[in-house]
Amino acid sequence: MIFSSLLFLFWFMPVFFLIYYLVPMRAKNFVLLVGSMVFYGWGEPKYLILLVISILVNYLAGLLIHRFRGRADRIVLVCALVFDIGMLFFFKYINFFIENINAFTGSNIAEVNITLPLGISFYTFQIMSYVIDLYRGKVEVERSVINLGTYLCMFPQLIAGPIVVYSDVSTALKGRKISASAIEEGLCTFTLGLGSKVLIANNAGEFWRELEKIGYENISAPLAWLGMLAFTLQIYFDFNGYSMMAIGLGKMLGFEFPKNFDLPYISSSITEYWRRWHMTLSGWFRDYLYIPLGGNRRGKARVIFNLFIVWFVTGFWHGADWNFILWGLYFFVLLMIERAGFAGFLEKRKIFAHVYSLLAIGFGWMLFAITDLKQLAVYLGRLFTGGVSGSEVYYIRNYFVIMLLGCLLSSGLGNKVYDKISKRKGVTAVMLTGILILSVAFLADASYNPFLYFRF
Amino acid sequence: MVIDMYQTVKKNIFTIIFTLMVFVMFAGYLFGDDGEFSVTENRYLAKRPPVTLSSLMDGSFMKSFELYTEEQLPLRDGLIKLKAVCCEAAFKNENNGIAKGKDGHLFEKLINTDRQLKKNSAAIENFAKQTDRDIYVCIVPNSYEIQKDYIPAGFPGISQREYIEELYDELSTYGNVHTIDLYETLIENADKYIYYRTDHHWTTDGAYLGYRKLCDEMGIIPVDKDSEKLGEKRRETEGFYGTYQSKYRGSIGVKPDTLTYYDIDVAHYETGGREYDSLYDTDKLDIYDKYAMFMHGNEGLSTVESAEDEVEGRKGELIIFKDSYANCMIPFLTYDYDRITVIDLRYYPDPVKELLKEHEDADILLFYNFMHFNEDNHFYRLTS
Repeated sequence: MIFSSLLFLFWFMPVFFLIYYLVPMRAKNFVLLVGSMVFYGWGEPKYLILLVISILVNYLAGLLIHRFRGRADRIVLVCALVFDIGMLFFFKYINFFIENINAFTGSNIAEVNITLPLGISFYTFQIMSYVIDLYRGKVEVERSVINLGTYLCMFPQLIAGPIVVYSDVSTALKGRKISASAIEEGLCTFTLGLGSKVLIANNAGEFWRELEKIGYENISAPLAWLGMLAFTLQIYFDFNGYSMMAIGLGKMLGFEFPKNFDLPYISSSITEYWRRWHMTLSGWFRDYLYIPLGGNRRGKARVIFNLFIVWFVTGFWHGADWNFILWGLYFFVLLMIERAGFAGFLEKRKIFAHVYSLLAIGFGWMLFAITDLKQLAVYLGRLFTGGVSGSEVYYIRNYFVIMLLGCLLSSGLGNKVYDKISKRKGVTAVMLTGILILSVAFLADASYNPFLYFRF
Repeated sequence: MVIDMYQTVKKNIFTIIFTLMVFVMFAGYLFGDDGEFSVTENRYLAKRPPVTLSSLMDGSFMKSFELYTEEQLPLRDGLIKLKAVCCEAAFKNENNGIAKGKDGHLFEKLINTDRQLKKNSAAIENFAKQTDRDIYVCIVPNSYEIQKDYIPAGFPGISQREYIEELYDELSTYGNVHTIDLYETLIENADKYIYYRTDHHWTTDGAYLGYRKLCDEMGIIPVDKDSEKLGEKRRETEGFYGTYQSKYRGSIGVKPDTLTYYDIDVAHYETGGREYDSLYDTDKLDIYDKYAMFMHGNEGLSTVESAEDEVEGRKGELIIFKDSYANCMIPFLTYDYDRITVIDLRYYPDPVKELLKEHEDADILLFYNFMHFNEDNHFYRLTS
């Protein structure tokens, strides 16, 4: 199930929240667990079993780490991690490896017939944070399998983040207060996220899809540039919209989820960009990969190596394909250049710095969006040699409002306006009601409503 | 006390609005009457599926339930309209793939060919190879390709003419295939009312142009629609909104069409196993989908027996493989053929070979509009 669907809004929400608010606190986790199972199992009932196994294995590993503290806890941790990463590897990457082994060695290993379980990249990282932090002594052992299951399955962040580490919510899992003002705030955030997704991301995405249909080899240079802008906007409003909906729903349930985006497109360097984009993922890699590798404490060469690993894995995490690895390494190279002194140059030239960052981000998204490397080369070629076709007029007329709106909102102007009017309850309520009704209207007639981050 | 209430409401105003909206819609689903049929979309809507263990296990229940929530959404029609109005307000002139041009003309946008196009071309070639009987092939370009003065600025539709010519070139290697190119004649009349503004079909006047060109190629004498005989049979019905409008749904500057037909008599008409004494289903003129009045809609097999028998140069039998574009043209052909067998391959599962054997002296005509030819996947049945 996805948040931006009529099913979620008008069936899941009323039924689930009615029950959730009516039952006493001690039953809330159970209701949340069951509700989340329904939410997850709706689209992929067969992969529910995978989720349950993951909960049970890590729950047991947690108990064992606690029981054999100082003796065999390391072995248990390693076993749990091998299991978690193994599952992720098998379900997400096995065919990629088979394909490439076949291509390089000429062997003929049959591919496995599996589809990617929804959200496996996200929930694997979440549950790993529990066993690792437990081993490190940063969190207490979770003795209730319901609580641990609730943490892992909680429907707001189960499928596409934000990546909530166990320590973020361990206290709230045991007991939480749900205030009317939290519900109000949560619904506001949810509705803004819904609008981001349905009104902006879907419409910008429509243009991107249009270029795919025309065929990259047929598009003109202006269309190629507009396409880059459209995808850049789509993925931000899609993913940030999803995160906002998750954060809002979390608030309504009594949880505080971490922020996932902080106006990434206003960055004046790629280094800054990655502090603002998908913050919970960068945070996870920092805490559970970069620092364990030694971070920046083992000399210059080692730092570069560590960063290389982190960015290779970041790229690969986003998808089992070469273009995603390329995308990760692309950022590694840019970050290295900035580290080597370019950052200082950028600092003194603010306008140039913004232009450079936006272009670098946009090119990055092309690496990300076009999985076929040959097609990617065609697209990048059209940016400079596409000429003009005449159909630009048509597309500009149809999409300039949405693009302009997207640019303004991602520049932070939207936040400023919202902060101003949020002091006036009436105005905010009217605006949010408008967004809600419009979102429903667009969903009522939507032919295009994907979540980009569902592929991960 | 009152002030407290006011403060509480004010503090939680959006919670109240959101909750109300969600529960009203939820109640609408639970207690409202499910719509059976969407008039504007001309199709049946999904109903709430029954829960069964097997449909739960294989996930088909979830899929049909989701479809049900979309199609039975309370206030659905109004909400879809609201979206269309918003798009117009944002200066968009396209909604759901339909673009509004000048003077209230709507156009369907085709920006690339379908993979099916090549397969369909090949299917026609295979068909031509299998027989040495004369085959007439006519692919009608759609409105945006012809009415260039009315399309919106920069309209990105592909050139249908190129693809039609490519097909005709390939077919020209077969001596028994005669292609009918309507491009010139339609372009010459582009400023006339030859395509509906709000529907994907051509008008009866457009179809008449096609008919004349067809007659030229087939060596028959066309009936004159302006003659006294035919002129007095002309009928018009106003207030026709077609399929383009049911997708576009905007309201600014969209004008309803006038549907025209010639009340041509036939001796006998049989379609979909039922017999009629007219080619026209005039009851359809009172509903949304008025174009369905021609030939009583699309059926797999129809046969027309002409009421005329005195026209000069008449021919015996014709088999037409066609889509709905032919429906408003076929009546004219009854002046030239005693008997016409009409096949819509989408709904005709029987072997075509048998049919051709049964009518071994019949002329063969393939008559399709480009959009249909581009994407329909039933052409393989030609060689069945």
